[in-house]
Amino acid sequence: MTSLHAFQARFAAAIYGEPAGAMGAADERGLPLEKRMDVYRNNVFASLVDALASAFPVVEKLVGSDFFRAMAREFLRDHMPRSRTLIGFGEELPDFLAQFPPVGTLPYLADVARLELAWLRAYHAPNVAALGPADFSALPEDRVADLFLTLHPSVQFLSSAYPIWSIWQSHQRGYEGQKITHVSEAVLILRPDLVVEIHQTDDAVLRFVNVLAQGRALGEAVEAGTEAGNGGFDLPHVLSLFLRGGGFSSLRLPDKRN
Amino acid sequence: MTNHPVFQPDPIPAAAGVGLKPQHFVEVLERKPAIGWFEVHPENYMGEGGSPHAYLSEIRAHYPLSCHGVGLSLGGVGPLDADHLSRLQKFVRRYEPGLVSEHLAWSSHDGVFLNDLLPLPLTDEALELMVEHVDQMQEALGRQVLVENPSTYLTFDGETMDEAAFLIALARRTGCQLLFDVNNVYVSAQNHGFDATVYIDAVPGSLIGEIHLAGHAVEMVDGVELRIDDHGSEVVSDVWRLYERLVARVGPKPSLIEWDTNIPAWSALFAEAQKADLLMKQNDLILGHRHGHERGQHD
Repeated sequence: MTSLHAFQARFAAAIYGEPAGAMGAADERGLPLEKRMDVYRNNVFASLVDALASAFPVVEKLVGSDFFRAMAREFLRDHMPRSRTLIGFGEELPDFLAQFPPVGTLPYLADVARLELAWLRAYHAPNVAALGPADFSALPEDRVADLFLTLHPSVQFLSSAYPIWSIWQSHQRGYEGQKITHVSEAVLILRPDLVVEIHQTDDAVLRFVNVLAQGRALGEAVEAGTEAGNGGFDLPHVLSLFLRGGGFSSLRLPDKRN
Repeated sequence: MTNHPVFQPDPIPAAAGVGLKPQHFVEVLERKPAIGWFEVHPENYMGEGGSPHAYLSEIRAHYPLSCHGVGLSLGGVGPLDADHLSRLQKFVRRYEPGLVSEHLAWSSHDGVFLNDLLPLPLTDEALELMVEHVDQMQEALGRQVLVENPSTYLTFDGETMDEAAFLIALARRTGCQLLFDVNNVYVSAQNHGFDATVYIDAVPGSLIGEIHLAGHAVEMVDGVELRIDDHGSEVVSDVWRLYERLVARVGPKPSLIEWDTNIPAWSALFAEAQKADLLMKQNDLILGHRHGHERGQHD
């Protein structure tokens, strides 16, 4: 091991809290080494906690800033970033929250974090052209069920046993208070013109999208949605929501089977 | 499938620019302010798509862009991170920045990204490592890069050269240029008790490809003043004086205002850039002809 190897290992250990003396630095201008080292310790952790706070703004509001910062420090013990871009940092936060005893009284917190992660995935998803109504105009009506529709990479969806959409919504600017009731909620995220939109939806729509996401035909997706919807699955409404939201990126009609 | 605009390389002019923040995207596109160029951290544009790329592409269509990396960890032992280097290549190919820079620092250890510019002991061993990594970066990107002096809070036993000598040697051995951060020189000088003007005067103008200016914080720690480089306020007057001293000697250079925390209204940021432009013009008029300063000369 070269001396620079040893130096950086000791410096990194000092960042994590070991004494800084081992790496060969000294007090200067009357300011002790440890206090100087604290500048680096603080830069590292404060910047990472800030990155988490900006990725999970609603979780931060739900627990309060001071609590969030302390919780994020706990999270960092086992989840320091490994990529040199912080886009995508914090993927493990929902699972961490689900098992973090101090937030045990907020059982919806992990799912709210999942919703915020889904928002970020939609936000950073590739810019791929979306289908418009014109792309569907030439299709023979009797073949619609055979269509294969590719979801746009920005499409995200999730459901929760908790009212995550209402909770998320109540922390957005301009929200005018309504009492949140304890119901399960499903969320569909679309990104028309690069603007991320969060829609409250239902399990029938989620079943429908899930079948499409598996690469199966539109007919099968509609069947799954209808079955889950108990008569409440409104296909024209769902298709128009997807078209307005840029939810499909390509379509394919296989040759007619004989 | 994914289409993005193709940009021609635009050189960064010897004028003021600012660090581009998402808070200012819309205003910049609406007003098209008379500013020479913008700079971004490529790490913030390493997502696959979405509005960050859309805004940056639109702004790039109207202004030259400089790419200022903070994640490559040039001073880290072991090989450069291949994934990060290829993301950087992709960014450079996509946006054709006029300048590409990184730091005399390390930021990753044992696979963990520490997200800060950590200091190196200024030794021959560290110089060899930096030379190897800068060579590798320049080769991977197929272009000359710039390396920036960091703000430091510690010095180490066994250092064999000062930072100016280290950076000059690095530039001469790799053919890289220097991104000379005047605020960092000042912050380090105050924190370690050396004379900033000696450092400012030591670096040959021909090696300086870009200048950085920023504000910093002053903290009292155990009754001792410590300057923290937080890019969170206006450039202080001492730093403006050092900048004037520098441009009087080396002539106008691409000069960037960095303001990354407590981000102000666009007008305040723009005013700082105009100040840098004014100082460059004044110095060029007063001193340029008389001294025929170091610009373009070889040393």
